[in-house]
Amino acid sequence: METGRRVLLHVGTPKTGTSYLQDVLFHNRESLAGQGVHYFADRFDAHFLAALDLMDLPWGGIEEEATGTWDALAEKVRSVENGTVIISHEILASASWQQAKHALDSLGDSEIHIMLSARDLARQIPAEWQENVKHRSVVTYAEFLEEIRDPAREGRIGSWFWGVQELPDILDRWTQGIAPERVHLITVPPPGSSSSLLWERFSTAFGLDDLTIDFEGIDRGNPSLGVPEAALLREINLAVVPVLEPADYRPFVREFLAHRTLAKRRDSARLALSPSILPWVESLSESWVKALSGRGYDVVGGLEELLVPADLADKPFVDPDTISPREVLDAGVATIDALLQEAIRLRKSEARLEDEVGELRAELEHTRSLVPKQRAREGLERRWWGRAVLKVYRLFRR
Amino acid sequence: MPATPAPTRGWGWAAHLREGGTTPWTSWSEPAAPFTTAHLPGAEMLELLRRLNEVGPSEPDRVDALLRTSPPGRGRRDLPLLGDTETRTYGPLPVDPATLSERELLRAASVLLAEDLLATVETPPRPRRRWSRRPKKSEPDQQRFPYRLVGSPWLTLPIREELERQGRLPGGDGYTVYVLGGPLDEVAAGAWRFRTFTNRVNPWHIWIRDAQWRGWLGPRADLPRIARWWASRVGKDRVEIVTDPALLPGLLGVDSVPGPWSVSAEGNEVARVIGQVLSVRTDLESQRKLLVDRLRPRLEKLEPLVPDAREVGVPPESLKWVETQARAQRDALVEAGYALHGDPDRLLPSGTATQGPDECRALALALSLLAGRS
Repeated sequence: METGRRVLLHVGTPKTGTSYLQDVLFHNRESLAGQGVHYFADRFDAHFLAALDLMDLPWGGIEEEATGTWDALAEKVRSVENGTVIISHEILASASWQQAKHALDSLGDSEIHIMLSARDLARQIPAEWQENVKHRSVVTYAEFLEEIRDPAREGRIGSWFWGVQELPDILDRWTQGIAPERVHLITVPPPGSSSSLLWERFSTAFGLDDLTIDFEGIDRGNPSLGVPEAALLREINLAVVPVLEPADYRPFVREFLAHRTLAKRRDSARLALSPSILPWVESLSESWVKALSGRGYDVVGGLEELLVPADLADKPFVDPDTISPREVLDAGVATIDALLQEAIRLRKSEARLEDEVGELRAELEHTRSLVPKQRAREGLERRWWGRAVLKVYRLFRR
Repeated sequence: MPATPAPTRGWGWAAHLREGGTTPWTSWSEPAAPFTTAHLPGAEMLELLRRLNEVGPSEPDRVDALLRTSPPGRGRRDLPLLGDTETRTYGPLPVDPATLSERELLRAASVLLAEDLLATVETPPRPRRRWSRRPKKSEPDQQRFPYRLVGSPWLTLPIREELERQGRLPGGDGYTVYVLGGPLDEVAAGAWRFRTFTNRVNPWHIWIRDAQWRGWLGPRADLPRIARWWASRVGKDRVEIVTDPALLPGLLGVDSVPGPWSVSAEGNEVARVIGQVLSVRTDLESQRKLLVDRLRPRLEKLEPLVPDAREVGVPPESLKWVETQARAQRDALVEAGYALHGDPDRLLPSGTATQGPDECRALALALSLLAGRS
């Protein structure tokens, strides 16, 4: 018997605007709770940690913070008597049958809806290579494509890629016993669509249309890199990955270099699907759409959007493995410029902090010098003759 | 009323294994209806159960617990059985379970092995236990032979623990710092081996490859760095390099010192894969305690029962680089002018082992652990 609790379990896929949705939910969690929609998260990556915990998935050391987080999240979900609860993280797409079952069981007698946002493979394949490069990988685009085409999926890249991207398989794993009308497939609109259309689809699917939501200050998140920028980042990885710990790589390389510097260069060529694998991807996409159609899912958007766009073959392809060094150099110069600006900013900040430390030290010294005087005054004030001495002293001071 | 699922050969094999069967998949033909509402476990879990049944019978609850797990972390899983009723045109390719690698089966075993260790914790983890335990009173020998023993913890930790057990605490007036060295290939292997019990670490062949790429074997295998650090703290004249462990008893004023833990390369690999799961399931200190205090004694008991144990050794493709590193370390220590106990050339690689863990034997150890043979 189900309660009045509805759980929207968003299980993927990566690179489909999930970060933006999660940012909106996180920043509005208090106001949403007042409107009957709960997004239980005490930090922005709370559901990521819960997913790591659920899947026994180490992740560059951060997994230490994940211990017990899925069960804690599930407990909070079960404590809701009436209302909607949203859980969202894209890496949940890679959960095994057993892990998905454990997750579904842990949500108790909820009305569970499985939400899956999806984008066509022609965009997902290059995007996943970029994600690899933004996560310390030095794999070339050609090596990446070879790995994902290995039918045995024995490599780390191939097994992960299909785990989080193979839509019919993800839905099989996550819809164990869930009625098709409670499975919502949200497709990412094709290139050239209105920039707000994806959010409108999320909003409809998640039932957020009539709610008050504040979008101010929310980053659109996770921008893609151009071809020379991705090639440069891979070269940087070759040099720095052996010597940079993940905890340093994350803020300096991924955040500062990739997201805040290289992703801002919007004029360079965008990475596309390699023409050599286009027929294979077309055929695969068609087979997925065939497998998904007729299942009775609630499709927000259209299954045809998961097919490879018809005009893709006519578009130019710039190969990041063979791009001209001149273009990579341009991106490199822009990076050096940004690093210099950052170094100057940090130097100014350091000088300001040094000044503050100097001022605080002086204040501390001054305060210390006051302590004996204060003690003497307090001692005098406790005695009648002391109070008289103080009175005389104050008269003279005037 | 939901339709009863049709019997399949896969479910038939799973039921056979659940009852303790050992028939390989390719020799199995009987179909059966599902015995649970869950999805048929992947080929990797079923093959692991078959191998476990070959070791000996398991309690039914334990078998079900195994079948409720799936291989953790990254990598393929939920593999369908080749030749079973599979109508899907997507998903991982079906496999003959007999062809799965030992590495995949070991990974499949790691969740239940980790859960076994976690089940031994009766109370919530307590605050961190320090490696050094300090008795209340210092012994006379402590004053006669005040010491600090540093270097690769794989070599020094068992000695330090034994000395402390005898009441010989590190430190004391004017203590001497002994930097225990050895052939660099063994010291490097020791650095990895220690991490398999105390942290999350890559497989040996990747660890040594990355070290070569980085051009550094890390802090635990960098003796000049260790010596320099101590020299800056206590003065160079109180730092001494020991290249021959046989000289240590005389220097420390004891009859003998213990060697490293009696754990093979495969034992390290088992600890490593369990550590991957524990790193998510518990905090680092509890992980260390479980692996060092609970798993290690069990492995030490099992080691003699599983033949062909290997030592961890630097593979031939990295040996030349390690030799260059070793010569540089030797020269740096000699040039720095530290007192030396033993021939400095003992720091050069011994080359006694040239491989990492044997995955087949590592799986055998894991199966013995699962079967409760220690």
